[in-house]
Amino acid sequence: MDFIFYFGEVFTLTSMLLLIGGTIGGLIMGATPGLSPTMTVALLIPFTFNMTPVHGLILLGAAYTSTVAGGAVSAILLKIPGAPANIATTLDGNAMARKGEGAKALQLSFIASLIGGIFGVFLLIFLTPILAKMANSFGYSHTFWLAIIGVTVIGSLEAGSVVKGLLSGCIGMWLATIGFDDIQGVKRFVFHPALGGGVNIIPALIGLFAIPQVISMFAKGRSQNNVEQIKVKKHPISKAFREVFSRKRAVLIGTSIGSLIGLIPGVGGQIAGLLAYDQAKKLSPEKQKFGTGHSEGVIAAESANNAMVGPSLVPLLTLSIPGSPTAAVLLGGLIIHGIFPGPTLFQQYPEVIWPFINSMLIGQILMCIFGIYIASLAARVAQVPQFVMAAIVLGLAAFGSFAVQQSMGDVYVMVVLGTMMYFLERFGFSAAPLVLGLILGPIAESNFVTGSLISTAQNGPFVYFFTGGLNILLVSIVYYQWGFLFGQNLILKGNHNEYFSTQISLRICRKHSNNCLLYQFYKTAI
Amino acid sequence: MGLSKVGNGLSAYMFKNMLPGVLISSVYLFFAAKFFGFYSATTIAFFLLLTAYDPASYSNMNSWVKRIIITACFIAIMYTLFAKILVVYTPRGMFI
Repeated sequence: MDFIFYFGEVFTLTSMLLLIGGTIGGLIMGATPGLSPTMTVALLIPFTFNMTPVHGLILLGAAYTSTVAGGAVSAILLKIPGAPANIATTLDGNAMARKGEGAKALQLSFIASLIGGIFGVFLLIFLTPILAKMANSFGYSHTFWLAIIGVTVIGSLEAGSVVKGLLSGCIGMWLATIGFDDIQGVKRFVFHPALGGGVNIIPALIGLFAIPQVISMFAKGRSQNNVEQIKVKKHPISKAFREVFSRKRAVLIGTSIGSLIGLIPGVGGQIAGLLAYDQAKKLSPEKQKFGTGHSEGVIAAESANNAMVGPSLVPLLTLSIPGSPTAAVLLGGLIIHGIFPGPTLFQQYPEVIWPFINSMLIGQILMCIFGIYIASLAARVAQVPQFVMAAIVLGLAAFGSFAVQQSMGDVYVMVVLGTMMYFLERFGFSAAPLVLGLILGPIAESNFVTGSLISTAQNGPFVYFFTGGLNILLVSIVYYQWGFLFGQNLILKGNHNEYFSTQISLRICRKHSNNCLLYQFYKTAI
Repeated sequence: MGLSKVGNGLSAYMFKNMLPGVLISSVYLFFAAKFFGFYSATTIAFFLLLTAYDPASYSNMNSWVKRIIITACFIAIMYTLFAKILVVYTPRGMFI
């Protein structure tokens, strides 16, 4: 119950201003297609350099919370998901808006996000200290395997191809080796003096997420930005609250699935919304109404999205293993402020971490309040022409990358990585596994090398890394995952013309064929 | 297992569209930022990018004025944020 003692820090003037600013900014950025939560948080990190760690984390946490929810605005009003996590919201949300129920859909999405988000943060509050205590007993071999699990999970679920996803993770791990080796001081892949300090995580994150979006916007050429916005009529909020509380099944499904997905290292929010939507539809007595503007579809998807936010920080704060790509960016934000997540985090920095977690709780409430009232404004911002957005993001990326170490080398790294990522994405690779490889690579390497050194005084590295109950469990998870996914891909590939990113999505598509969720999104996105 | 085609590839049309933006960005970041100064180079690059990709006709005077105003507002915000609030010392070439 330590979190109660640190609530006061959240209600100081500076903290509240940052919380409100981060929430409003996050809602607007989230509503803008092309600006994902990950990119938003990555671009915000340079702005936190001159802040205290608490204030910096409060700003980043508020932005993380509200960008996830803000994506529902453009999904509902413009039929363009603000982020991949909002794909499922588009289906019923936009249909509701076309029936004249746009305000109702927005209110339902923010209220459902609030409920899911609060549940997720409470899970974070109560689970994190327990897992931190367990993690204290983790050895070097266990942490090594956990890092490998983090990269392989996201690599196998995120990318269009399992092999390419895992390759992306490997590329990320290779990038992490650039510079000087921590243990032996050996120079590795230092092609230019600017790389002597290695690849700094913040410019890398900005480059990997922002630059491909910028180039994508350039690639559309001088096209008109013809996005139809549906007008929003008023709807009483009390009715929306009553509707959400009457749809208990959808809320429960969304909240529990989102929380569970968030706890699994590396998975992220895209799957949570889709899975929750699919399960809500399967378990609903009104299945046929889904896709035509049914409130349960919006409620399940959005409660899952925000329920994922808190739990995605559980593996991050206790094991340094991000629960989502955005959590990976937050890890960069923590490291920049000199805070290294791990089992002793709550003992060493309680005055930083508990206010941060408490601020996420308050942030959920502010997200709901501001979301309902400024949704129309956010939708108007989403109609900013793409070429203007591209130029703004490029400028922010350049300044943000430079501000990290006041070095042009970081800007060059940002551009090179971003350009490389754009071309990789065009050919089926994904940024999320690459980022996780970049972040988890050093963790895996240092734990492997240290474990190997220790094992030479014991029974050798094979015994150290492959024996013992926890080691066997973790290794089994890695091999099971690879074997299961490779096997499933071979069987399912023949049942569908398209090849989708996740196994869950593959199952959905097998059942629904041309009407499946991801198939529709990819068709509209191309 | 990755043998199937994934990703959308790159068409000549897309490459032709992105080329001006990529060239302007490359010159801006690798050369102009140090030569002219970070803020000056950003101003020029921002304006050139807007001009290159704005679908409005180049003979329309209003669209030129709009682009100048957007560029001025953006640079003002960036200068306030980075130079005054965050106190980030950017490279100063010929100008700021």
